[in-house]
Amino acid sequence: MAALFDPKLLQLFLIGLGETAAMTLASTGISYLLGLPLGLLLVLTDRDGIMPKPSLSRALGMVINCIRSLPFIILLVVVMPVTRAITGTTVGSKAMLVPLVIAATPYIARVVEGSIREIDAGVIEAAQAMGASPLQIVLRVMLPEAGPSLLIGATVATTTILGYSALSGIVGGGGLGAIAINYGYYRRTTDIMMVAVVLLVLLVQLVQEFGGRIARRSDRRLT
Amino acid sequence: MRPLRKGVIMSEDIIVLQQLSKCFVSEQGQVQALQAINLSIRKGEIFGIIGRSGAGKSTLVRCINLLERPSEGRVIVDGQELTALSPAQLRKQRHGIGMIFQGFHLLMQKTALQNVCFPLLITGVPRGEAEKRASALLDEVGLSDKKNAYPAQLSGGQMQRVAIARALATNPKVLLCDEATSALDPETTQSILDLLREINRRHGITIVVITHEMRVVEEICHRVAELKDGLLLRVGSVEEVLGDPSHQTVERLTIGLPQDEETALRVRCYLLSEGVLFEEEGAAIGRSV
Repeated sequence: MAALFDPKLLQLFLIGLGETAAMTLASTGISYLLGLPLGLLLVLTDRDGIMPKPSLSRALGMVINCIRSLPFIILLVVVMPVTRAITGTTVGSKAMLVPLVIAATPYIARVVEGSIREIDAGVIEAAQAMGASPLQIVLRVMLPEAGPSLLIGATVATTTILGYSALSGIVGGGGLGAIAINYGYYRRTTDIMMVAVVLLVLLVQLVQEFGGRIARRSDRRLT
Repeated sequence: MRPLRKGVIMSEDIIVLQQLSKCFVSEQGQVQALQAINLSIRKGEIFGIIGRSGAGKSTLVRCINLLERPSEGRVIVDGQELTALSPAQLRKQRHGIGMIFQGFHLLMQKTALQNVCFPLLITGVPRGEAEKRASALLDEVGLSDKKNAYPAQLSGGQMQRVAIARALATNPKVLLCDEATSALDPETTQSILDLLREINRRHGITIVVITHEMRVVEEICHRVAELKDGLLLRVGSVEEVLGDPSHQTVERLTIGLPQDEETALRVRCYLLSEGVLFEEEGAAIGRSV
């Protein structure tokens, strides 16, 4: 155990922690840029939506289901040519952004869709009755009203993506996941693996606690 | 009902429905919610639409601002044929038609003031100006001390007052009320009805009230239309419709009511038909029963 306080190991964990945090935040951010509009589009173009285009909504839903049905570990391998084409490599944290974003975007679209659908249809109808345009309804009704729910969704999405990023350690991604797999699985140094696992658990707890608190504090339905 | 001359819109009619039909099509089949409704509502009146649940009242009022698009027929509000407008033109016309609902439908994450600002902000009124007007409106509906409260902190009656202030923000000519008091207790209902009557008097705004509560009609309506199974049965003054000697309306409205309420209702309708009872007294009797 004393070996754990070796400065070299400490450095290893610090770098791993940084890589995991960077991978998770970057891929969550990019995935939200794509997934948030996609989730809104799913609701807006739905048969009962404010811009009904049922065929588009159904087609989008099918594409999302297809990607979502692929286990992440398989997706990692399948998209390797795409990863190489975009980043020039298939190993390291940066390369892992490609499969992470591909896996997280449809997931986030579904999470956003769920949050938006929670809004009372009457509120949207009232806005329509007042002459609000679809864009005004999205910006001034849907997003603010779903705010706390979207934040909880983002918290769940971030922890899920953190898990994905750790899994990517298996095919050459970086971060804490890679440390846990390389030291724990390949070299059987269980104590180092345990430290990496504990750090991952702490990260998830931190994100969950922090996100949940902001969501609760921002929700005006709770008095 | 007054005869409706095709193509001629009388100047005092603010809402004209011509041959309005609505048919809902679902996988289970078709439902004819409204059948060839012809109806004119005059400028400045409080007009009631009554009928039992499923009669098509809600569909009818939702057709007036095209929240529900009629399958056939024309909707003309303030001289504009809404059924002929593009989506953008329709949105503009909707600024002139306020609406309140049974479930209030306020923005839950916004304060009372922000809720009343909403219709102003979407029409491009600058924020400062919008807040000033919203504040004045909340004073008018008696919520001066609740401007920064969120809907979750308000009672049902207070929420409906916010909704009324919101509906009035853009100075509409018409206010549509879809079962606006049905979720409220009798006392709160009374105060909301008083407020609606006051608004009608002060602003000359035309109010269309959908309700299954007889007392709402008695209290505030000038004229009433009765709907049954999507058909317009009759239109006339409150006395004419509720005091009909055949008592058909009363018959239909009292089904399912407790015995004492039914008796009270029958007595009131009889007195109305005899001209013994005036609006205010009718309400007084209604309260004492």
